[in-house]
Amino acid sequence: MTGSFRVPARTEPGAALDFTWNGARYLGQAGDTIAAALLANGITTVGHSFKYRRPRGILTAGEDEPNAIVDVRQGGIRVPNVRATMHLLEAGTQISPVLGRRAAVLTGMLAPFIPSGFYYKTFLWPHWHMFEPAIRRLAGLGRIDPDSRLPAGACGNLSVDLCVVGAGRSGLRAAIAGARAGQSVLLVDRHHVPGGSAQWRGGDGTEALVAAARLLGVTLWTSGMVFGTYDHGRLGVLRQGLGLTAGDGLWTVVARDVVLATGAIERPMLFEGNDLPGVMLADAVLHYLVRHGVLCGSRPVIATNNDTAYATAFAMAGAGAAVTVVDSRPSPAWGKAAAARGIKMVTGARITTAGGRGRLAKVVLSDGRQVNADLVAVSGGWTPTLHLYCQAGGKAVWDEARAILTPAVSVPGFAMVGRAAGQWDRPEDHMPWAWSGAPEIPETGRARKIWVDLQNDVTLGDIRLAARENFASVEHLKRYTTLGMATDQGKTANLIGAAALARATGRSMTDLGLTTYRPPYVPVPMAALAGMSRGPLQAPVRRLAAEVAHRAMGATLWDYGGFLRPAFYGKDEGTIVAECLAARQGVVVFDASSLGKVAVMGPKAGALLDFLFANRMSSLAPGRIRYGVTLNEAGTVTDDGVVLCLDPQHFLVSCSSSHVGAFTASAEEWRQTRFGRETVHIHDRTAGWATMSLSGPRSKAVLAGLGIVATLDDAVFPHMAFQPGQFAGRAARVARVSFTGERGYEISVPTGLATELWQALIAGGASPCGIEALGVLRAEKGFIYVGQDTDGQTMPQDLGLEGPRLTRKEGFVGDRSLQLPVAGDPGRKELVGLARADGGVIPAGAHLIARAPERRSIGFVTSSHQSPILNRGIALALLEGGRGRIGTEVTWFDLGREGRAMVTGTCAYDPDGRQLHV
Amino acid sequence: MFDRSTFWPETPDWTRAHITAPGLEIAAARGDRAVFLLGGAAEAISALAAPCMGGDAARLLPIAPDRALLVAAPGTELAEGWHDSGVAVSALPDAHLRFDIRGPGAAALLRRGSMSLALAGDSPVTGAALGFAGVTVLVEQLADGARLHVEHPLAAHIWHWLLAATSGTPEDQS
Repeated sequence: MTGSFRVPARTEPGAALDFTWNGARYLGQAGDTIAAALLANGITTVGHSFKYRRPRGILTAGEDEPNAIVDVRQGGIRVPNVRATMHLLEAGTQISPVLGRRAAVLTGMLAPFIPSGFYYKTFLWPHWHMFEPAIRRLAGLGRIDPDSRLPAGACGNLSVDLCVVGAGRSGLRAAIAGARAGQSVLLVDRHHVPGGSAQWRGGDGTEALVAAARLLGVTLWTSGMVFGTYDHGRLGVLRQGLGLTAGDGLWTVVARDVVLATGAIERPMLFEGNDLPGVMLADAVLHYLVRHGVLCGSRPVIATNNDTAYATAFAMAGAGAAVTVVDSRPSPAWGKAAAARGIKMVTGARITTAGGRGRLAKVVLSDGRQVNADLVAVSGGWTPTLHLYCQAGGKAVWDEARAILTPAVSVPGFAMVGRAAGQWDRPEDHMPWAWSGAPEIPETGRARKIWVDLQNDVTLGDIRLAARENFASVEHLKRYTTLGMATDQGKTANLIGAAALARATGRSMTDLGLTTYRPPYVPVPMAALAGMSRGPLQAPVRRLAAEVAHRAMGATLWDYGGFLRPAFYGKDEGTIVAECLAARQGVVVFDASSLGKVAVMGPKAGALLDFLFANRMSSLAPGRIRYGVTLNEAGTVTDDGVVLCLDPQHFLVSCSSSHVGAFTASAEEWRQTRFGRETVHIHDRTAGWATMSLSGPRSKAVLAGLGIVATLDDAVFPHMAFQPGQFAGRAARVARVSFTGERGYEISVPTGLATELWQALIAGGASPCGIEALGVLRAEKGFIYVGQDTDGQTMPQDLGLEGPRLTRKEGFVGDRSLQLPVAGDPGRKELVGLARADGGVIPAGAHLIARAPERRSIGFVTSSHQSPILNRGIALALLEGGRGRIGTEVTWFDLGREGRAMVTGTCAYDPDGRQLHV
Repeated sequence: MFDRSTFWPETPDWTRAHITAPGLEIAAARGDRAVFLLGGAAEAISALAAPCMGGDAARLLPIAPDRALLVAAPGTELAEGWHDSGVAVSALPDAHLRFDIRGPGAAALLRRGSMSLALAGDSPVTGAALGFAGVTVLVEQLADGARLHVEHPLAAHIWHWLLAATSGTPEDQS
């Protein structure tokens, strides 16, 4: 099918583009919006309404469109909820309505029984949640296709002196003035071609203004929508890509000054059946005719209360249509001019009813006359587009005399020009120019057939019902009826809805006020919001310096604590067992580079650490290491780690990999607020050093082969000590610590030597060990992972660390909370071990159950593994009064399964710690 | 268990990492400078750093009111730890990778990555620690672009972001 409703346009027709609508093939033209192409092919019904599934047609030609929401497929991309009036047609585009006729008959029959508040009133018993899923399935717009991944368009940030929103004549003049004043100027326009409404309403010199702006260096963004104003002069701009596959880009623009030349939105008129396909805004009809050469009807009735619709009437008559103008004013200034053009004039009357089956066929006027028509073009006045001004803190008030909204207060940095400022250039013939009329609210007729908000199916009857039920504020009206809450945000509905409420409650528009304008002005696609932050760029993990070496050894990598780390080596989880046994019986190397290396330096370094840790650190001798835990103010354990004393004014904290940022931030806060900036400093050196942890009975021999430190003699280099050394000619440090219970050494070298050290240790006989095996090894020893084996209530004494609560005198973070009665409650959850009699593994996360006096959870399993060295299951758990239950049995419960387990101490392997010295 | 080694693209070989795009040259370097993190009063930091500031490569990048990164010629030595002048010193020669972004297209790319740089326009940015591509980096402005000092663990992310931003190809590699 070809575009049979085409007439010669102002511009040259573009190349033919094929597309499909509901599977049928049609032709459009390059430069058409989807809406223009549909209208050109005589497609007037483009979907069904949200609530009642009534057939709906295209109403507007811009972002205010409530009906023409379509599903678009192009080049393997599928995008739901595309506003057909804003999106350019592409060759091969497959288009379909997002709301078809599904349930139309049923909901149409039920419509009289589904007024505003129906759901709130009806589905109270037994509970709303009983009905919600079914209602939600019926509701909603287009469905997301999970297989369709929208590309990210070009996005970025821009700073300019002046941003002008709207490239109509007023905006162009403002941009040119700014550029001439030496300002850097960005001019953003929502249309694909600059010029604003002058493109279809005429206006000489627009092309010259565009050329002048370009010549003066104005940056012009077409197909750009400023959707929000934010703090500090920031503007959110959505830039539509050239085609669906190009994606939309999100830009943040910061401008010292903003000029809003955003124009005005035409208001519909209220009459029965005003939602029928074939009822359009007069300006949109003119737009499609002049810009796209699409004659939306051959027998149009143009209903208006102002002069602007006469441009539509004249243009349509000029294109050969049989035009009737119905002007509610008794003596419109343009009446004679219209009549002179052969236009039939009806004055002092208005449309009371539009009729037709599925689309418009006739209208009935207030004087009783009936007029056959295939199009009703309405103009109920204009509302200046002040959304961005209001978002920036401005306040719009109703001007009764001019029947428009006007800005009431000035917003620093914001100015309005053109129609947004309540100004409209008069037409060339200098006739009187009444460009807006007060909203006309019908007093008679079936109010539930008069639509105010087309997208959310809010009728005049709904508004009157709300008023009767005392939802008399516009904010209450909005929430009760959903007026203005659809994706078009009520751009064509809010003002006449407010006028209807004002009439129903006997108040003036000024007294009633308006709802709050909030960003975004138009829906912003999630793909644009995400921009480049998707896939691997969405939430970056940190990388180990030796990652390439780990990959080369076939490591399975996983995200742990914000780092991409080897889970195990190989692609079979069975290797975890081998890694565990190698650590117990031979020697393994584990990449521990992500462990924190936070330096605390200065005369008060020791004092700060004493305050940060639950145990003292200032008494640590140089060359020695101490384990400690940190608490928050509630006394809850937040991290554990070891502290190395390099000298009395220089310590190094090795905190957990995932807690480096939190520890550093907390330490920095206390440093600045309690200890003073001048006496202690905190440096996070984690990125500068790589650490390989050597563990196992043969670790000493492997390390000796590298000759990093002067001596490995246990007498001078005992457990929990460290030494400086040299590796590959650069400074190194070897700390004798262990997280596996075996003899262990952590070797730290500058990050650039990470791979070299890793390979040297592997070549020396160590086998690689991933973090999964480490998790088993440390659990065998009862060593905790803070956050896994603790919860938000775990205090040090719950882990068997009684010193901070009972013996430590000086103040430290969390100390007062440790003295609260709850801290001494014998029923606190304490860390214990568990063992099944049959040697089986208890599911991690299983609850521990008390049967009497009532069945309840008394704890839970925090870690659970099959121990390769013990050849049985081991587990750690937080259990109420746990240590007092050692030697007794408890019941575990997990997803319907139950079993018994013996409560034990936390250390299941080598409780005497002999392996540390083997 | 899922293997995330395919989701996360491999870390580049930094010795050969290079991006060429219209109007852009991006090169990576590491370990060829002496780098120190200095903490203390601004005057004390300046005084301690002054002897190390010789040569074209030396820079003192302000990070916070009492913190700066000293980038100095190879071989420059400063004792790590607390200095009597009230300055804390950490030697971090390998902590950062340097990405030199140069060319006529550099400014646009930098603005795309950093709101702070976009806001600054042609004015020099006073602090070097800026948000870029979602993480914090240190930015040293050059005559024809900028040098990003990126913490080693985050360097792969910034590099892949630069690749995506300069390739014009979809970034979604999942």
